[in-house]
Amino acid sequence: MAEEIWDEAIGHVLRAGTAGFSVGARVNQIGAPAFGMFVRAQPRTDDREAVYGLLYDIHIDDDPLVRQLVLADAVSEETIRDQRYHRIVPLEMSVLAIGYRHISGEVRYTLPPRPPLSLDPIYLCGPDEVREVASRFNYFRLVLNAAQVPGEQLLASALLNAADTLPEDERYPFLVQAGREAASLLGGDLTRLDYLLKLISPA
Amino acid sequence: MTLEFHKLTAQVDQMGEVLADQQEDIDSKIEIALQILEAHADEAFLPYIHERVQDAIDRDAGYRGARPLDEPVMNVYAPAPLPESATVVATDGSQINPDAHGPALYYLLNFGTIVVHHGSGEPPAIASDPYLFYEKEYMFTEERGTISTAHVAARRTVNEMASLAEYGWHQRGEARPLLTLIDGPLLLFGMGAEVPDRDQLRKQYFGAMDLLYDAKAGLAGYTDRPRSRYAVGLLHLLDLQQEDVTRAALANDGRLEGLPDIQVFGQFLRPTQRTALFVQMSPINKAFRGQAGASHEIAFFYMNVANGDRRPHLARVEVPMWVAEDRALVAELQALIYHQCHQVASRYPYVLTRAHELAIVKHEEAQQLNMMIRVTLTRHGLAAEQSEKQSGKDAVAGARARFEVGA
Repeated sequence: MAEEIWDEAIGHVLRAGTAGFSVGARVNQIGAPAFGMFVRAQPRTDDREAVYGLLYDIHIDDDPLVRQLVLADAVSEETIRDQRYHRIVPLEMSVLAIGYRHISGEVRYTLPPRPPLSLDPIYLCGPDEVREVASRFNYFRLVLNAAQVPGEQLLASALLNAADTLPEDERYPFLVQAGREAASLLGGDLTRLDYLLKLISPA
Repeated sequence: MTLEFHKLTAQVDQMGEVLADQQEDIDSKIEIALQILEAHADEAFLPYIHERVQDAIDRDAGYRGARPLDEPVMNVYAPAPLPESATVVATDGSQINPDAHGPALYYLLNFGTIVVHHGSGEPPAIASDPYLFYEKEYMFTEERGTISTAHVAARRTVNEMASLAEYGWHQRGEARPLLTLIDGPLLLFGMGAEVPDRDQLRKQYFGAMDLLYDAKAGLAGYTDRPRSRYAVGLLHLLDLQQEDVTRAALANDGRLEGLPDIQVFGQFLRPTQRTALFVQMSPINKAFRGQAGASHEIAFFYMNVANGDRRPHLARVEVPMWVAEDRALVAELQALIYHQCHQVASRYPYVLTRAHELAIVKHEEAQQLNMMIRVTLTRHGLAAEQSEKQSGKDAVAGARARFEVGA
């Protein structure tokens, strides 16, 4: 059976706090992760919780050699692949924590009791896991209230990603329900609500 | 305490003035050099030039200048079209020198190698090979003294070639041409009295070259911004009357003293082009020929690796005679080197940049190695403290930036 993209770690925890964490990866690992995806920080031991989050920033660092290459006339494919496969040019992804899986097995939509540890592997959630985590909307407030993220953009992307995991006839009702939940939270800020609803409305 | 820049302002100003004056002097010397070069540019002069060089050698006048191989001295040569496929191997080395104040007496050599299958679109293969030396035979000379940093550097140079040869040999069945590149000259400098085992090291070096010779590899040593004056030495010789050629007359370059070769060739060498092939007439090169064979004598040329409309950027490329005699291979190496230089904006071969990056031992890594050594010594019940002097140095170093070790 072919391995799916969510079976392989997309990176490892660089820095972490209760509210979120940063993930380091090589540049050649940029293929799978995308803005608004559900991810899981998997602990290496059973005594800690798996932490769920939404990927909200992907940042590629440069270094002096990359700057030289950018200015070069005609960089060969071998050189570009050397940079991407071998050199430690880190791809840094930022994740907003939206919940964790309690030891009991239940997903809880609060900040995790402790952050993931450095070098814990990070996985993209598979369709079943996304459906499970996104089935309740208790994480909306964490996303919309987080100062460091573009809240409406991030929530809209997450909802559209979650909708994609559902059968086609369940997608629209899911988004309508999510829109109602958002309306209850953003009732006092119609500008943000309007923006969010436009982002998740079917074209 | 940091460097007090205000105390340097006047000195830096003065430096600028002196260097500007020197450039005026250089400009007039370039004109003289070009006149001499033009006067001997015709192919018909080659036998005469060879005769003058031989005469200087026969007079034992200490001639260290160049001898043209078989190409007119002012000719320029374009590269071959860039090969569609080729194999490029580059190696560089670095070291941690012995430190009497460290936890133990040792030194480390680290070699970085990159193998590029040019035209394949595949990522290159890379390797970093560290070697730790700590046994008495490596640390002390016969006179019971601790090995000097010059001695370590000599061993590094020889092992760089050995490493390049090993990786190059394994690529002998891959796409041709096979370019094996090293940073700096191929001639072995720094092998004087401070290197007691120099004969053995030379043998090792020649053995590595033999391997590349057997692999029919295009071995080359690349020197960026060379200050060499081999061709200028030749022009000075030609500027002298034959009867005036003495040790005293050749002790400097006369009217051309201080003029580097690249200032002369930079006047007419267009981007991608190379100069004629020359041989440097030194005892070191003579030893290469005498001990390793005529095929291992080192020849060189200059090439302009600059972009089309930019000011010239000349590098010296040294090749062994087995490469120099194959002009089609020389033209292909020229094309590959130029291509490598244009992978980065700095006009220096990308493979050498990467080999250096793979070889370099950073200060933090050296500290980490020292920590590993301390742990293992302690486990074996040995004292593993650095000296009081080193502790003091570390204390004042604080968070100040440190230079990387070696390379």
